[in-house]
Amino acid sequence: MSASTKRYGLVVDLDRCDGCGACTVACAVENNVAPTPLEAGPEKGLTPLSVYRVVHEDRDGTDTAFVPIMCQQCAHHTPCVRVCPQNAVDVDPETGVVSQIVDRCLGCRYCMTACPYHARYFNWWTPVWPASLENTLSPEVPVRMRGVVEKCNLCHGRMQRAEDRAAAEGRRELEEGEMVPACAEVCPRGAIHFGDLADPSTEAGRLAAGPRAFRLLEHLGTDPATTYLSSRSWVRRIDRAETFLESKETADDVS
Amino acid sequence: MTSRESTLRRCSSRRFLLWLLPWALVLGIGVYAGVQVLVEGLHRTNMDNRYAFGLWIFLDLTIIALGAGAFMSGVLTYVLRWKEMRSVIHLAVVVGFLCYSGAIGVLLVDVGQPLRAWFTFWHPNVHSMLAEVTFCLTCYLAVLLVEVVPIVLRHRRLRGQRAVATVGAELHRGMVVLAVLGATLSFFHQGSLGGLYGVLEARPFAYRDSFFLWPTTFFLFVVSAVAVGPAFLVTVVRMAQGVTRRRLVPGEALDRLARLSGTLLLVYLLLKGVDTLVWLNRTVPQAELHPAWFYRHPPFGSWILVAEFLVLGLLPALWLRHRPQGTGRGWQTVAAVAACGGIAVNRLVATLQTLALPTLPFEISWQYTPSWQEVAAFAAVVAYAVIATSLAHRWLPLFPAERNLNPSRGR
Amino acid sequence: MLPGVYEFSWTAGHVIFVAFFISAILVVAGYAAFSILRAHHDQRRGAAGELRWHETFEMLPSSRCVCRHELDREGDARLCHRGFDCEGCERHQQLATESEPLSAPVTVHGLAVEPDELYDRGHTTVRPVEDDLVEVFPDALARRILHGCRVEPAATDDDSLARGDAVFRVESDRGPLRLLTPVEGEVVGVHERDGLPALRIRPRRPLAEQTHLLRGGEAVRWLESELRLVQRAMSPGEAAPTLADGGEIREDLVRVTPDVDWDQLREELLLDV
Repeated sequence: MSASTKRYGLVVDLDRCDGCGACTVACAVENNVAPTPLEAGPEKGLTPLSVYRVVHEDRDGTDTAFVPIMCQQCAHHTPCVRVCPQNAVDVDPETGVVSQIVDRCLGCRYCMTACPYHARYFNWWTPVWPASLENTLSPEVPVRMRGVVEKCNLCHGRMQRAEDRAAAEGRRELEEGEMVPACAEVCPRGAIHFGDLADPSTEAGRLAAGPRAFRLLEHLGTDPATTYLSSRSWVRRIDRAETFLESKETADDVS
Repeated sequence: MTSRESTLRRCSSRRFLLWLLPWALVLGIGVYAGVQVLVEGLHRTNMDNRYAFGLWIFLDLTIIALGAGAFMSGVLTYVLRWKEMRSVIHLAVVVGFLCYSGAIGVLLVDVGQPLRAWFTFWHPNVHSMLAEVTFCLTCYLAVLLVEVVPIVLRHRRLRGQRAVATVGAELHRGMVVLAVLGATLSFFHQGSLGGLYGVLEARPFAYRDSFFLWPTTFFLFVVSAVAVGPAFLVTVVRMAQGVTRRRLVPGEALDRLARLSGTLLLVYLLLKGVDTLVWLNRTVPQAELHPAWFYRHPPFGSWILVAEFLVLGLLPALWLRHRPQGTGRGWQTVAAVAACGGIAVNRLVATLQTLALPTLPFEISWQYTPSWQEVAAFAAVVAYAVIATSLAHRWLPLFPAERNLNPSRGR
Repeated sequence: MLPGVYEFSWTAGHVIFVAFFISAILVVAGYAAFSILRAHHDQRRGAAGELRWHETFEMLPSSRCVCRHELDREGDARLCHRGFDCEGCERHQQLATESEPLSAPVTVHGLAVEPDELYDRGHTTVRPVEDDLVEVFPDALARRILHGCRVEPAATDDDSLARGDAVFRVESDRGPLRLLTPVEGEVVGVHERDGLPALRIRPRRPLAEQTHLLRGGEAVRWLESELRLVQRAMSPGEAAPTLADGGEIREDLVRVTPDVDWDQLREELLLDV
């Protein structure tokens, strides 16, 4: 990380998440994601936020966890930033947010190869909205074209709006809760939190430093910001080597 | 060999057109597929958000490796001054040009926004291997173009124009400059193609430790390309000899290329073996994984290692290096083809196996089967190369030794 | 990339990258431009022909490059690597003896070697006609193999001919064929002889100094070796030459042997591959 004092990110409580998928829908609406063509399967769908259902079996029985996966906002050697040939991925040094510059994206999809979370999605189709649905487009979020990669950018439009409001009030810093991404706003069980994970005085920062916190694939050195919470030990190990070998988990993408 | 084939006389125009027709059809279908993808979108392929790279990237990596015979031949001919190479240098340059231009053609269809291709030059990320590939490929294609021009200018009708003939001769005079530049550029772009995967720190299957500035796959791709380039040339010559039913290159030249390829392949396999051992014993455990896991996802089983190292690696390398006495050159051709196949498997593993492996254990394994558009575009590149080589053989002195080997004889 | 692009800043990596890329492009573009400029310069100083000749010579099959001192040898003969420029050749200086002059024309399979003519290995003859002028004409074998072809002069009055320049041009199925000038000099006239063009040239150097030209007995031996090539080309498969002793090459040889690849043979005999 650079000399930034902030590290914006999400904290997702897997003990609360019931896989309803409201976050996925809210994300799509907020970010002007076009309706998926009928012929698109899960492989080609554009879901900046995907929810996985993971089923665990052991001698004590069967347990299920729902795992929302979005861009993990990696900080160390951010894989997509390193590999993009034309600097179409940007890391904000002040907030640590990883953004996709869609106007610069060539669509080579090298970043998608590099991302271990499969949190990047390609616009395989030209986005098309039925005439009435165009009224739902948010003017704060640019519409992307066919052939570019996109991902979760922590609701950049909302962030911009919050910063504009704060600036109008003469503040440089956002207050806690002033900026809420669409997924966190809509989650009926309050499983998603947003904030400055580096600030232990915020709720998100406190949760991220708590005993239930873990990060996916941290051992690969990506230093993801997105933090997951679970009291279940098997959930905290879902990205581990022994899990690969035991193959006791089955999963599907519910979003 | 009948008398017709023992002269330079080419087949009749009718027969030539009949030869070209199926290839033209394949090319046409591939062009149609490419245009369809450009117009309608990449959803027409079977690539997806997991298999962001597919058949086309595999094709690009493979034909660029095979086309390395061009810069290898340039070095052998103009720098090391191997006399035998004069009989294949024209072919090597033409094949190289076709390989690289074909790769770039496919790349322009493969990217989502081909009109933004210049962005890489305008907003370069100097840390990105793909930026390095783009820069070096562009420069090297320019080198190949300048190397191909004198060959084209040797068409008899063009040579009839004195100015044209003089330009061609002058372009050819200082080829050593382009040979050295081409070798330098090829070193970087072949290596960068390997580095594409080696830098993927978050993909333990592909990631490799660094040596100097680059991951070890950088150097392995260079060595493997240098090794397989001559073998591919041998393969192309034999195919051309089979189709034209005449000798085009002295057997001694092909033998020397084969031995060189065999030697370099052995060096490559040694380096790759060391690299694989380091990967197995250090890199993979550091990622908290067990190597066996990588080979549990069909169709990518441990048979791939056997195929790459042994069947399509060590065996053809030894055969090329030490062709047993009394064995025909047919087996040498088989070994050359197998060597090319081994490098193709290596590129396939780097591209598709890397993407096939789940990165999160709870992800479902997806399969990938190329769509007809992808296969058609792949086939179109092959057809393009065959058509262009056929035209070059018909109209240009593609094989300078052909006259020596086919003195005019009556029927 | 340039200043003005949002948040761009030059780093050592950028400098190295861009420097390398621009250097490579400059080398390629510079090489191409330099070659074109050099070609233009060659044209202006009359060196284009020689450059082209050396390139052509490299493309000749080895059977066409046999040293003039080994023309009698069949197979494994020593090859010339100097483009038949015998003047500076050490071996020629060691082996050159005055070729036995001919007192009368010698006929080899119906083709005459004249006592007053000198022969270039590209099958043109040089015959002194006036004090300082020579007549250049296709030799007898060339006339046979070009029978039925349209032969045109490739140079006109006042043209300056250098080594490698063409004196005659023939249109063939595979494209134009050139007969190269046997001597350097200025063209003073073009006329017709026996239905074919002939050139009168004022050579820059006396004929006696034109060491690459063959004459007398050496020319006879050379013609015999050329005819062996022709006979091999006319023989089926691997059979030995079949022209019997005393047999003559017909004037319409090309017409009566359509199966022979005359285009290839002409290119190789006339040294214009």
